Amino acid sequence: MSDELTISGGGSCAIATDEMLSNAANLLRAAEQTRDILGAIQMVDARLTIGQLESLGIPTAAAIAETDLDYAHFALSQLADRAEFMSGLVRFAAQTYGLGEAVAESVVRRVAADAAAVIGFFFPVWAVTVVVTSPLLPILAGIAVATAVLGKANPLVVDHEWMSAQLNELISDPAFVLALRHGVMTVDEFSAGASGVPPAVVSLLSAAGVIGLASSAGLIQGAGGIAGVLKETPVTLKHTTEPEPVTAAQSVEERVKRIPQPTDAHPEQVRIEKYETPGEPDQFEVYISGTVDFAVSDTTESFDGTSNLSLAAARPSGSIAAVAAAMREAGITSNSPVTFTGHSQGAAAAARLAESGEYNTAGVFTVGGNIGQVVIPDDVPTIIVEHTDDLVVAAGGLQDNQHALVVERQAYGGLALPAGEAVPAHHLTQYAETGRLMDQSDSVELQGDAKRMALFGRGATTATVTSYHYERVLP
Amino acid sequence: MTNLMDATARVALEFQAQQLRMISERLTYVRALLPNESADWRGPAQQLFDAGVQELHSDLASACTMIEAAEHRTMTAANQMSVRVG
Repeated sequence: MSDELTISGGGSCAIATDEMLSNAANLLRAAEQTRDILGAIQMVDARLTIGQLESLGIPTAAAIAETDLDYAHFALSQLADRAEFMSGLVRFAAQTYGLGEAVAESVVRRVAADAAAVIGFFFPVWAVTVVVTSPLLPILAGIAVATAVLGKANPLVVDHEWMSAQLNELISDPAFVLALRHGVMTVDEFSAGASGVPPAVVSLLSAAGVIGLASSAGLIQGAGGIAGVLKETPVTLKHTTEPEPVTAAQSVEERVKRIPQPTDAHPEQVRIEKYETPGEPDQFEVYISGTVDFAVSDTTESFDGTSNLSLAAARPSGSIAAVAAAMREAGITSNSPVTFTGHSQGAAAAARLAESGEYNTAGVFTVGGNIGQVVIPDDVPTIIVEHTDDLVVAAGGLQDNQHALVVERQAYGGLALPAGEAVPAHHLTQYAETGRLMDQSDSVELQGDAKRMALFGRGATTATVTSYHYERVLP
Repeated sequence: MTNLMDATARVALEFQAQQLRMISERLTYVRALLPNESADWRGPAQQLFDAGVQELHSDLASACTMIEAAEHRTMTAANQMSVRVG
């Protein structure tokens, strides 16, 4: 298991491993500490000068000690300057690497998009092949695989034998996941080209953001609607838990572990913590579960495959409706400060709710979400945690939320994948482990953002938690 | 009078030794902050980084040795003063 975190974003173009950023922070701290010590040495030196020593008749050993202190002072001055310089160098290296990555990614993205438009325009009959073998694969395969392994409604669509270790290894390979992330970004250009739009126009539409991942997902949902699947429905409240006292999450790991993982006994998909402080508006923490059932029809589960696609298409989804209804039940208004935390589909819901602008979003924290192309407002403090071997994340395309602090880790780097577990890097337990590593990190960037989130709700006189279970209303 | 001056000097030296011991402890904390060889760098950058890290550790080791020597010499002088004070 890899313990290395890669941190980027947060308004900076730097990309660095957690170790690099920790080193930079620690070097700066070492320089500051050393300068404090230099001050202490000077004070010691000033208390007993060689002249005083001589006048007091103190043995020569003490006079030599004064010379030792001068040498120590010199060595420590060098140390402080060198440590500060190296800290700056590490940050400069991270910044330069980040700039290079950003330029390269932008060029690859543009060239791939234009190429897809040209191929689609001149060879539209390839459309079926490309659609099946390219970027939509993660969405469709993800739904199929997850249905087989996790789904309730259609558990035998694909059996566990089929889910061979080889396939799992392929879809958990960071290179494959990255390729899919890039592929996802071009499917819309290909589709537009295939439907006869001239490549130059496709290029312009793409640059203007008129076509994108959401339009492709919308296309699939439209096609699914004709076939009688992927249809959205209203949702209804089935059950709420009694409000219980709670204390605010104090660590990233704790935050991740609070994301609901619905079971038959506890089917609640939304957990809302309410923090009351006299004289201030109530503050809320909204925790949103991932997909519960990957079925795309005939299920009462509101966190299902249909909601997944609706979220990708930026359309109203059962899961968003459930969270919004739970928030109303909890007394959240458009003015209430609210922080969203979600995993997988819950991450997408959290990002979409922040994107909507309908709430006073104080923060967004997501793990394993396919939210690369969901525009989270720049003024919303955001932490996005992604595993580089998590296929689900790739389905969201490249991460375009530059202001967000993006933390990456290869969950199974150098380790054999567990047998029979589809996309194990997507599991919440793996993200909890990443949360633990984030808590241990010395990175100033990480600790700063995580601390700001941990302060939310601090000082409340009353804090309670309530969980909600919503179901679809089938026609 | 001489005894009084010697006693004052001894107290001053003992205080200095105590201060130097505290400085040594603070240097231990600085050592913990310094990085070791990094797996994040490759090629010439790694050589540069590792060389820089070695220099830092070398500077710190020199400083620690000097501070310890100063403390030792200060205590030696304080002990000699004690003998003189009697």
